[in-house]
Amino acid sequence: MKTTLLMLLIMTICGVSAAAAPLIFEAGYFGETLTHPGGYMAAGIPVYNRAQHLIVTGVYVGSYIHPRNHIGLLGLARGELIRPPRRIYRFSAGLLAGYYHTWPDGTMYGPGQDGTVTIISNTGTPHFGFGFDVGWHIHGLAFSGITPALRLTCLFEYPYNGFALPHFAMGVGISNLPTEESEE
Amino acid sequence: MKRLFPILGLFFLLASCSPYYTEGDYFFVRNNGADMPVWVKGQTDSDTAIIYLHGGPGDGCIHFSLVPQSFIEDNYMVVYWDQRHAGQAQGNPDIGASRMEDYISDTDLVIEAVTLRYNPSKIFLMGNSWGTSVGAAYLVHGDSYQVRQDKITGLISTFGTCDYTLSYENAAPRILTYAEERITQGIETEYWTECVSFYETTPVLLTVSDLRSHTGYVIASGGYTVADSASPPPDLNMVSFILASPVAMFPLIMTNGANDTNEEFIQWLVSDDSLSFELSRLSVPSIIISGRQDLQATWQAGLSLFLGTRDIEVASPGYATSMPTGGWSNGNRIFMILESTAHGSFGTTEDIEIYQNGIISFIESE
Repeated sequence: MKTTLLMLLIMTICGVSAAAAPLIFEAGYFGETLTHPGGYMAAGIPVYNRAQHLIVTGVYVGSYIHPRNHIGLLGLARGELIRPPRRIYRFSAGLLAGYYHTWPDGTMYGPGQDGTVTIISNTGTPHFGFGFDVGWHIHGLAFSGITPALRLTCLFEYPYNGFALPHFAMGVGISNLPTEESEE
Repeated sequence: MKRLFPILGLFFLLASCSPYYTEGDYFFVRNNGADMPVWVKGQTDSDTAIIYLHGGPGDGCIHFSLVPQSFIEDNYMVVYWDQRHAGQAQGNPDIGASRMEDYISDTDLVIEAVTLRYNPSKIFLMGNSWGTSVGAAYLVHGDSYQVRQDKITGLISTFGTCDYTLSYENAAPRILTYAEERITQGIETEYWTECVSFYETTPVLLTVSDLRSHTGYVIASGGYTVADSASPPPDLNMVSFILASPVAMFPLIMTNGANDTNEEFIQWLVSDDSLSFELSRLSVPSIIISGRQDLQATWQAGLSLFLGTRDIEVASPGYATSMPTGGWSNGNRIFMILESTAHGSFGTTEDIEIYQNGIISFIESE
């Protein structure tokens, strides 16, 4: 289940990449509450480029583990506004919405088919995921066309015991966002 | 950015070294839409398992288990379980529709999972506050209660009630007395005048608003935690607790709030006293511990569980208003009253030695 979803999302990214260049790509460490480790990948295409303001739409996938609590998998659509370059960075802000699946991290017991308690398959729980992020593409530290990126994300998992549960995460990664965009 | 990577490395080190990720045994139980965590700590090779039933409803206990409970963990296997829509429990069960039958079913699942995994020869249920209701209901409610009693060696009730109405009826006059004293002394007159008005116009609890007001007055009058508590602060590493433990802070806060604000659930909680009419079915050995100062779950509610009836005046003439110091033993039941303790949640009692010795003695005697 987890592998299938991940493969579908990677194929989607590859499809976007083939159909519309230039693809803006970003990947890195995804730390839910900083220390619950995971990874993220984002890919998008510019749909607006004026006065070095860039709007990028694309997909965002990520996964992380909060040991003994849950494993999270994200497959989200993302819209991002990237502001003009400042001295060493470009500030960005994005909105995210899509699918968020969680699995309790541990052996799962439950009633079996005959009613007796046994180990059952851990299918997890599907959720609607949505949220926002802010980030900095730090071209002042760029090397070989690769720009370090720092991202702070607030995601909501709904429904969780009847409400939208917030998660905060920090992303540290790299992107291929150029220092300056040529206007279309 | 260059400094960020060493900082991240430090976080990874902290996370990977956290004892909370390796201590004891951790698993989940799934039942009717809820995925509930179970943390087994202490002596996991002991033949005695103590299943901790937390209060609330909604408080959870996985986070509380991070504070060492050495007085029971040193000798026994202790099973901490976050009930449905409480603490770190996941899933999306309908809080408004949750009833005692769900909690009974969940408790049975936890007991069966622990039996499957460890096969202990003795299983005790240890309920705190609301957890006493869950434990007692498991043992007396419904048609198959005898089958469930056969699985349990003993019930440990701490600061619990199986009858919110009975507890409220006994708490209200004491809070009124306290309020009138404060008014006479000219202390926070407006607040305590509102308190008097509340109890004069609210013969029974019915709504979320009623329960919230009552709880506020219980706390303000020292009926929850005795002022200048002698209990030491919890020995807890807050950095590891927040960043490198099974506990996530937002669920801890928000699930508790979701329980407290669900009108349908609270109305059921405060108005359904059917459990108190089934208490005479209780036949497993029990120790019932109440706090004399407790206004949340009054000692009369504990006495009701001990006597197996809500008619405590009839069952124990005189004792309903003047329970003697110490306690009472009757057959396989013990009633213990702690003089300086109020609600004593999470074992933060002012009579800590009596409390701990009472529980250990009871377990050892069975």
